[in-house]
Amino acid sequence: MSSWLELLTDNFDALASGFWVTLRLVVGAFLVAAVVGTLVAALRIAPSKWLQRLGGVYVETFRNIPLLVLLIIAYSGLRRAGVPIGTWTAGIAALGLYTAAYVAEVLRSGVFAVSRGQVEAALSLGFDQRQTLRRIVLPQAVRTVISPLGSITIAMIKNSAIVGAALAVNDLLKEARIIASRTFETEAAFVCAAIGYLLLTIAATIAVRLLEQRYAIRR
Amino acid sequence: MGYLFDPDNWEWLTTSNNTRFILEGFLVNLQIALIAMVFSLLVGLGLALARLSRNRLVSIVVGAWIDLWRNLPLIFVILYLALALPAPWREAYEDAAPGFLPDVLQEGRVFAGLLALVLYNSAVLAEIMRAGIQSLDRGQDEAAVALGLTYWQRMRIVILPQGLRRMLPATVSQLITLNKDTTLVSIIAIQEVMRHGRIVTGQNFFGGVQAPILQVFIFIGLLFVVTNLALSRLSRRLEIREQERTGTTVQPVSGIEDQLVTVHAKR
Amino acid sequence: MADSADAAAPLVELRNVRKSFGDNVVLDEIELLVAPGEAIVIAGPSGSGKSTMLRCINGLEEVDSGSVLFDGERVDPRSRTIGRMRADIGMVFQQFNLFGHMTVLENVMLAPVKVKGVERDAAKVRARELLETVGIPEKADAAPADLSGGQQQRVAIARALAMDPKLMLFDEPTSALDPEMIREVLDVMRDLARGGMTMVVVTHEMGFAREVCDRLVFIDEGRIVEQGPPAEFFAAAKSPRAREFVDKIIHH
Repeated sequence: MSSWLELLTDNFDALASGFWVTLRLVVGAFLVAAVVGTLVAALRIAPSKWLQRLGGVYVETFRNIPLLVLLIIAYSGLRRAGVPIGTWTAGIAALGLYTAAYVAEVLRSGVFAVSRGQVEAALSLGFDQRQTLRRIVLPQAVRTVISPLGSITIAMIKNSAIVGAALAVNDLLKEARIIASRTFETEAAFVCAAIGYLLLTIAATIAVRLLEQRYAIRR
Repeated sequence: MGYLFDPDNWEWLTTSNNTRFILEGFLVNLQIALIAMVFSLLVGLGLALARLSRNRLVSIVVGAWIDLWRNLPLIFVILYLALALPAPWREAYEDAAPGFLPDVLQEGRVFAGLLALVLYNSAVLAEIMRAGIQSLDRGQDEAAVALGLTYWQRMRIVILPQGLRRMLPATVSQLITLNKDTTLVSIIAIQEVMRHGRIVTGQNFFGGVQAPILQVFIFIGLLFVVTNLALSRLSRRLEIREQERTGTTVQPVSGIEDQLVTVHAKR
Repeated sequence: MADSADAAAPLVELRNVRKSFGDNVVLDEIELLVAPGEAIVIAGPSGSGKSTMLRCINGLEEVDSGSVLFDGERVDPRSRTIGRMRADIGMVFQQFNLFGHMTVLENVMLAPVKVKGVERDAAKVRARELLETVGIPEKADAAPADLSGGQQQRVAIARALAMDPKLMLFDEPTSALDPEMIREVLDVMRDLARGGMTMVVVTHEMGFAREVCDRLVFIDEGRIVEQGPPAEFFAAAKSPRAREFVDKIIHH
């Protein structure tokens, strides 16, 4: 019989708690990424050259640095420096700040993807700059960014497993590893974890699809 | 801020060969990245072509394979293979690894890391390549068909050069991700830059100087930032050269790792 | 040329061809013979099956039943010899479909070198000649994207001619062009027809049909409704559908 099902029922509490930890990591990091990503995107399209450059440095740095390095800086690095940061705070901050760079890029390109013609049409109808941004550009930008933001979220769900591997956070993958080393049922334990991650990514995929339908262009 | 820029906290850079030791570790990462890139690109291309096969069964089976590996966390795949890979496979790798590789890369456990990187990245790259190929106008293939070119001639001469060019930006951003992901093999005890960083910041290393974690890992992070920026600079230069040659521009959506591949071609 | 229609061996033969996409029947009981040297225009309302019929001739579409013969041989998209047959049939598309990553000259040289195994230098000389024929020798090293639509379409014609085809198929070759560029493409096609090339042309350019073509085939809802010399068709179409079609064109 399928041994993983047996393992799942035997270790349900541990796996459920790991799943819950992963879910909280993902939600926390998502919020950080959304807020910081929006701020950085705003910097990137700000009227000042210096602000734009600042946003650019953020994106280029956090996009090109390995998440594992960020996690170690955020936890061990800060603690050794005397900052009493917790594993949760460090994990969520690192994952969120890392993802924020991608969010910022998507938001920025979403705004630029709205064609110049749309802006010109709006201006020629008498809308001012602010109205054009609010009524014409942003509603269209929202549509174009839903799908890439979904992809980023899915990537973040997968990246959350790195948090558990680097820090003392018992997420889904960590719980699976603990069970594997205790029971020697490596295969079954990893299958259980895989199902957990797939549940999350599938849920994210469905959410994206629903949002896309809601904001779809009616032709 | 005072702590961060305090010269005392950067002294480790110039003492006891620390910098050199870290750079040696980083070199291992670059080599792992290079090997994994070459194999991921080759396997990815094969998977993409199989995925686009007119044989439904092949297409479905390969599609499921691709979806499986690209939807699992990479660290998951690495840890799983490290535990589950049969010993004879590792030994086979140790026997087969060419002698010019550094000793670290000839160890059997590196195989688990490399295999995981290739399984994951070839699946992601296959999706990118498939999207690039499918984004081509159908007329390109039809025109080639009408001229009497065979399937492989069409792929080689007409479809791949254009399709792959379109996905170049997405590919490069995935290669950057791969480069970053090489740090994950430190978790299965491969001696690369993260491990070397740990050693340098550990106690009693090289005459008792203990380097601060924050500064050491910022330094390591910068190594990645610099190489990755160089990589994207290189790809941009390639694009511009192609643009000048063919008079067409490719507008990629900025590199979003792993998934998003939206490419527009402008006439 | 016109009387060659009753010559013994037709170059193209469609026998009782049927084709449907799902429930939608696009070709029904199509019977068509094209004699060597003949220039035929296929006309009809949009969605009547004109392009599909054309694409069946070189096997870009597979017929559901009936048979398509080219030069006495069955056209079967799944056969091994289909590539060789297509090499003898030139096709020009509505959207040009030039290969964007190659120069104009490379586009024209490609198939002779890769399919026929012509030597590169010889192919290059021939390609330059053909570019001369279509009137744009100076664009040999340009990228397709840098050409106007009319120029691109003329390159596409040169690319098809480079294979020395026995038959040329034109699928609405001027429909994607700005009005001022239509003429330059039609002129090239007219010269081709006058030079004796066998041609099957799907087009809405009825002036071209009247001036250049030997026969007009009118299709509606997947069936050939009537056919004959273009002048007769315009003067006295027999079926009501055809009359309606002619009236619309004349009143435009």
